[in-house]
Amino acid sequence: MAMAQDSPGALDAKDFDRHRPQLMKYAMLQLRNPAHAEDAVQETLVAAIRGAASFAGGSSVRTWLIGILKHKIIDAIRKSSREQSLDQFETSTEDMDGLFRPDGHYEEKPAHWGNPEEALSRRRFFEVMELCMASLPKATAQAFAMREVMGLETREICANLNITTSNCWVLLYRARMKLRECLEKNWIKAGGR
Amino acid sequence: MIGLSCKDSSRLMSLEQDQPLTLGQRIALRLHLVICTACARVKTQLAFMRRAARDYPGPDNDDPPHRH
Repeated sequence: MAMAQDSPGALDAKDFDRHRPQLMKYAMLQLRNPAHAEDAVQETLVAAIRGAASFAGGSSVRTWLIGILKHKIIDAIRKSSREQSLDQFETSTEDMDGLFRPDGHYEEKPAHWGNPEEALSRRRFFEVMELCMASLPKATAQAFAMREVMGLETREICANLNITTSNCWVLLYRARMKLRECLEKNWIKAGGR
Repeated sequence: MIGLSCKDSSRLMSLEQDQPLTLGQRIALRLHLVICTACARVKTQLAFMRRAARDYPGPDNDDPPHRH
Protein backbone atom coordinates (compact mmCIF):
# COMPACT_ATOMS: atom_id res chain seq x y z
CA MET A 1 0.00 0.00 0.00
CA ALA A 2 1.27 3.49 -0.83
CA MET A 3 2.50 5.47 2.14
CA ALA A 4 2.54 9.20 2.65
CA GLN A 5 5.82 11.02 2.05
CA ASP A 6 8.00 10.85 5.09
CA SER A 7 7.92 14.57 5.73
CA PRO A 8 7.88 15.94 9.28
CA GLY A 9 4.52 15.39 10.88
CA ALA A 10 3.18 13.47 7.87
CA LEU A 11 0.36 11.08 8.55
CA ASP A 12 0.66 7.56 7.31
CA ALA A 13 -1.75 4.74 6.48
CA LYS A 14 -1.83 3.61 10.13
CA ASP A 15 -3.09 7.01 11.29
CA PHE A 16 -5.98 6.72 8.88
CA ASP A 17 -6.72 3.06 9.26
CA ARG A 18 -7.62 3.30 12.93
CA HIS A 19 -10.59 5.46 11.92
CA ARG A 20 -11.87 2.75 9.60
CA PRO A 21 -14.56 1.34 11.97
CA GLN A 22 -16.07 4.78 12.55
CA LEU A 23 -15.99 5.65 8.88
CA MET A 24 -17.65 2.33 8.11
CA LYS A 25 -20.41 3.09 10.60
CA TYR A 26 -20.92 6.54 9.09
CA ALA A 27 -21.07 5.15 5.55
CA MET A 28 -23.37 2.26 6.50
CA LEU A 29 -25.84 4.61 8.14
CA GLN A 30 -26.34 6.33 4.83
CA LEU A 31 -25.71 3.64 2.24
CA ARG A 32 -27.30 0.63 4.02
CA ASN A 33 -25.18 -1.70 1.92
CA PRO A 34 -21.98 -3.22 3.33
CA ALA A 35 -20.26 -3.56 -0.06
CA HIS A 36 -21.03 0.03 -1.08
CA ALA A 37 -20.01 1.33 2.35
CA GLU A 38 -16.76 -0.65 2.21
CA ASP A 39 -15.98 0.80 -1.23
CA ALA A 40 -16.67 4.37 -0.09
CA VAL A 41 -14.43 3.94 2.96
CA GLN A 42 -11.67 2.32 0.94
CA GLU A 43 -11.74 5.13 -1.62
CA THR A 44 -11.66 7.64 1.23
CA LEU A 45 -8.58 6.05 2.82
CA VAL A 46 -6.78 5.87 -0.52
CA ALA A 47 -7.58 9.52 -1.19
CA ALA A 48 -6.46 10.43 2.33
CA ILE A 49 -3.10 8.69 1.91
CA ARG A 50 -2.54 10.42 -1.44
CA GLY A 51 -3.52 13.76 0.01
CA ALA A 52 -1.94 13.37 3.45
CA ALA A 53 0.43 16.28 2.77
CA SER A 54 -2.56 18.57 2.27
CA PHE A 55 -3.99 17.80 5.71
CA ALA A 56 -3.72 21.20 7.33
CA GLY A 57 -4.15 20.14 10.91
CA GLY A 58 -6.51 22.34 12.86
CA SER A 59 -9.46 20.01 12.55
CA SER A 60 -9.09 16.45 13.77
CA VAL A 61 -8.00 13.71 11.40
CA ARG A 62 -11.41 12.14 11.82
CA THR A 63 -13.20 15.32 10.75
CA TRP A 64 -10.94 15.58 7.73
CA LEU A 65 -11.57 11.95 6.75
CA ILE A 66 -15.33 12.37 7.14
CA GLY A 67 -15.13 15.41 4.87
CA ILE A 68 -13.66 13.18 2.15
CA LEU A 69 -16.07 10.35 2.91
CA LYS A 70 -19.12 12.59 2.44
CA HIS A 71 -18.23 13.10 -1.21
CA LYS A 72 -17.73 9.38 -1.73
CA ILE A 73 -21.10 8.67 -0.10
CA ILE A 74 -22.89 11.19 -2.33
CA ASP A 75 -21.28 9.58 -5.40
CA ALA A 76 -22.47 6.17 -4.23
CA ILE A 77 -26.03 7.39 -3.53
CA ARG A 78 -26.15 9.01 -6.96
CA LYS A 79 -24.98 5.81 -8.63
CA SER A 80 -27.38 3.47 -6.84
CA SER A 81 -30.33 5.86 -7.30
CA ARG A 82 -29.82 5.69 -11.03
CA GLU A 83 -29.96 1.92 -10.87
CA GLN A 84 -32.97 1.40 -8.63
CA SER A 85 -36.12 3.43 -8.17
CA LEU A 86 -37.70 4.68 -4.98
CA ASP A 87 -39.94 2.34 -3.00
CA GLN A 88 -43.57 3.38 -3.47
CA PHE A 89 -44.36 3.56 0.23
CA GLU A 90 -41.63 6.15 0.81
CA THR A 91 -43.40 8.64 -1.46
CA SER A 92 -46.71 8.45 0.44
CA THR A 93 -47.50 10.60 3.49
CA GLU A 94 -49.79 7.94 4.91
CA ASP A 95 -47.46 6.95 7.76
CA MET A 96 -47.17 10.58 8.91
CA ASP A 97 -50.92 11.08 8.71
CA GLY A 98 -51.09 8.42 11.43
CA LEU A 99 -49.34 10.81 13.82
CA PHE A 100 -52.45 13.00 13.77
CA ARG A 101 -56.09 12.59 14.71
CA PRO A 102 -58.72 13.17 12.01
CA ASP A 103 -59.17 16.75 13.29
CA GLY A 104 -55.47 17.47 12.64
CA HIS A 105 -54.28 17.45 16.27
CA TYR A 106 -51.37 15.28 17.38
CA GLU A 107 -52.36 11.78 18.51
CA GLU A 108 -49.70 12.12 21.17
CA LYS A 109 -48.76 15.66 22.16
CA PRO A 110 -45.06 16.41 21.59
CA ALA A 111 -43.21 16.66 24.91
CA HIS A 112 -41.25 19.60 26.25
CA TRP A 113 -37.55 18.85 25.62
CA GLY A 114 -36.07 21.26 28.16
CA ASN A 115 -32.52 22.26 27.20
CA PRO A 116 -31.52 19.60 24.71
CA GLU A 117 -28.25 21.40 23.76
CA GLU A 118 -26.49 19.58 26.57
CA ALA A 119 -26.93 16.38 24.58
CA LEU A 120 -24.53 17.65 21.92
CA SER A 121 -21.56 16.95 24.18
CA ARG A 122 -22.62 13.36 24.80
CA ARG A 123 -21.48 10.43 22.70
CA ARG A 124 -24.53 8.49 23.79
CA PHE A 125 -26.91 11.04 22.30
CA PHE A 126 -25.37 10.55 18.88
CA GLU A 127 -25.64 6.79 19.26
CA VAL A 128 -29.36 7.23 19.87
CA MET A 129 -29.55 9.48 16.82
CA GLU A 130 -27.83 6.77 14.76
CA LEU A 131 -30.35 4.18 15.93
CA CYS A 132 -33.17 6.53 15.06
CA MET A 133 -31.73 7.19 11.60
CA ALA A 134 -31.24 3.47 11.05
CA SER A 135 -34.94 2.94 11.74
CA LEU A 136 -35.93 5.22 8.83
CA PRO A 137 -36.60 3.82 5.36
CA LYS A 138 -33.50 4.01 3.18
CA ALA A 139 -34.20 6.95 0.84
CA THR A 140 -35.76 8.88 3.75
CA ALA A 141 -32.56 8.49 5.77
CA GLN A 142 -30.41 9.40 2.77
CA ALA A 143 -32.42 12.54 2.04
CA PHE A 144 -32.16 13.60 5.69
CA ALA A 145 -28.43 12.90 5.86
CA MET A 146 -27.75 14.87 2.70
CA ARG A 147 -29.90 17.79 3.86
CA GLU A 148 -29.05 18.01 7.55
CA VAL A 149 -25.76 16.16 8.06
CA MET A 150 -24.07 17.24 4.83
CA GLY A 151 -25.96 20.51 4.32
CA LEU A 152 -26.88 20.07 0.64
CA GLU A 153 -29.68 22.09 -0.95
CA THR A 154 -32.96 20.27 -1.66
CA ARG A 155 -32.43 20.67 -5.40
CA GLU A 156 -29.15 18.74 -5.26
CA ILE A 157 -30.71 16.07 -3.05
CA CYS A 158 -33.58 15.45 -5.48
CA ALA A 159 -31.06 15.20 -8.32
CA ASN A 160 -28.81 12.79 -6.39
CA LEU A 161 -31.76 10.59 -5.49
CA ASN A 162 -33.16 10.94 -9.00
CA ILE A 163 -36.64 11.86 -7.68
CA THR A 164 -39.15 14.71 -8.06
CA THR A 165 -39.18 17.75 -5.77
CA SER A 166 -42.47 16.68 -4.20
CA ASN A 167 -41.14 13.19 -3.42
CA CYS A 168 -38.04 14.77 -1.99
CA TRP A 169 -40.21 16.96 0.21
CA VAL A 170 -42.11 13.91 1.51
CA LEU A 171 -38.85 12.15 2.42
CA LEU A 172 -37.57 15.13 4.40
CA TYR A 173 -40.92 15.58 6.14
CA ARG A 174 -41.02 11.92 7.12
CA ALA A 175 -37.41 11.98 8.33
CA ARG A 176 -38.02 14.98 10.57
CA MET A 177 -41.29 13.75 12.04
CA LYS A 178 -40.03 10.23 12.66
CA LEU A 179 -36.70 11.34 14.08
CA ARG A 180 -38.44 13.81 16.34
CA GLU A 181 -40.66 11.07 17.66
CA CYS A 182 -37.78 8.60 18.02
CA LEU A 183 -35.48 11.06 19.84
CA GLU A 184 -38.29 12.04 22.17
CA LYS A 185 -38.97 8.42 23.03
CA ASN A 186 -35.40 7.16 23.28
CA TRP A 187 -33.49 10.18 24.57
CA ILE A 188 -35.76 12.74 26.20
CA LYS A 189 -38.19 10.33 27.87
CA ALA A 190 -35.39 7.89 28.63
CA GLY A 191 -33.88 10.68 30.74
CA GLY A 192 -30.96 11.41 28.41
CA ARG A 193 -29.36 7.99 28.68
CA MET B 1 -54.32 29.22 4.76
CA ILE B 2 -55.85 30.81 7.85
CA GLY B 3 -56.74 28.37 10.64
CA LEU B 4 -54.03 25.75 10.38
CA SER B 5 -54.26 22.35 12.05
CA CYS B 6 -51.21 20.87 13.75
CA LYS B 7 -50.84 18.57 10.78
CA ASP B 8 -50.76 21.52 8.33
CA SER B 9 -48.40 23.32 10.63
CA SER B 10 -45.98 20.37 10.83
CA ARG B 11 -45.78 20.29 7.03
CA LEU B 12 -45.11 24.01 6.79
CA MET B 13 -42.44 23.83 9.51
CA SER B 14 -40.66 21.08 7.62
CA LEU B 15 -40.94 23.00 4.35
CA GLU B 16 -39.58 26.10 6.09
CA GLN B 17 -36.34 24.21 6.80
CA ASP B 18 -35.78 23.90 3.07
CA GLN B 19 -37.24 26.96 1.36
CA PRO B 20 -38.75 30.35 2.23
CA LEU B 21 -42.49 30.20 2.90
CA THR B 22 -44.91 32.50 1.13
CA LEU B 23 -46.21 35.49 3.09
CA GLY B 24 -49.59 33.78 3.55
CA GLN B 25 -47.93 30.62 4.86
CA ARG B 26 -45.74 32.61 7.25
CA ILE B 27 -48.69 34.52 8.68
CA ALA B 28 -50.84 31.41 9.06
CA LEU B 29 -48.00 29.54 10.75
CA ARG B 30 -47.22 32.39 13.11
CA LEU B 31 -50.86 32.71 14.14
CA HIS B 32 -51.02 28.99 14.83
CA LEU B 33 -47.78 28.94 16.83
CA VAL B 34 -49.06 31.66 19.14
CA ILE B 35 -51.92 29.49 20.32
CA CYS B 36 -50.41 25.99 20.02
CA THR B 37 -47.77 24.81 22.50
CA ALA B 38 -47.40 21.44 20.75
CA CYS B 39 -46.36 23.03 17.47
CA ALA B 40 -44.19 25.64 19.17
CA ARG B 41 -42.30 22.75 20.76
CA VAL B 42 -41.92 20.97 17.45
CA LYS B 43 -40.51 24.14 15.91
CA THR B 44 -37.70 24.39 18.46
CA GLN B 45 -37.12 20.65 18.23
CA LEU B 46 -36.65 20.81 14.46
CA ALA B 47 -34.09 23.57 14.94
CA PHE B 48 -32.29 21.49 17.56
CA MET B 49 -32.30 18.41 15.31
CA ARG B 50 -30.69 20.45 12.57
CA ARG B 51 -27.91 21.53 14.92
CA ALA B 52 -27.44 17.97 16.17
CA ALA B 53 -27.26 16.59 12.62
CA ARG B 54 -24.59 19.16 11.70
CA ASP B 55 -22.60 18.04 14.75
CA TYR B 56 -22.91 14.37 13.83
CA PRO B 57 -20.99 12.10 14.56
CA GLY B 58 -20.53 14.12 17.74
CA PRO B 59 -17.67 14.08 20.21
CA ASP B 60 -14.79 11.64 19.66
CA ASN B 61 -15.20 10.29 23.16
CA ASP B 62 -17.62 10.58 25.99
CA ASP B 63 -17.80 14.04 27.40
CA PRO B 64 -15.61 14.78 30.40
CA PRO B 65 -17.44 14.73 33.74
CA HIS B 66 -19.44 17.91 34.25
CA ARG B 67 -18.44 20.10 37.13
CA HIS B 68 -20.62 22.96 38.23
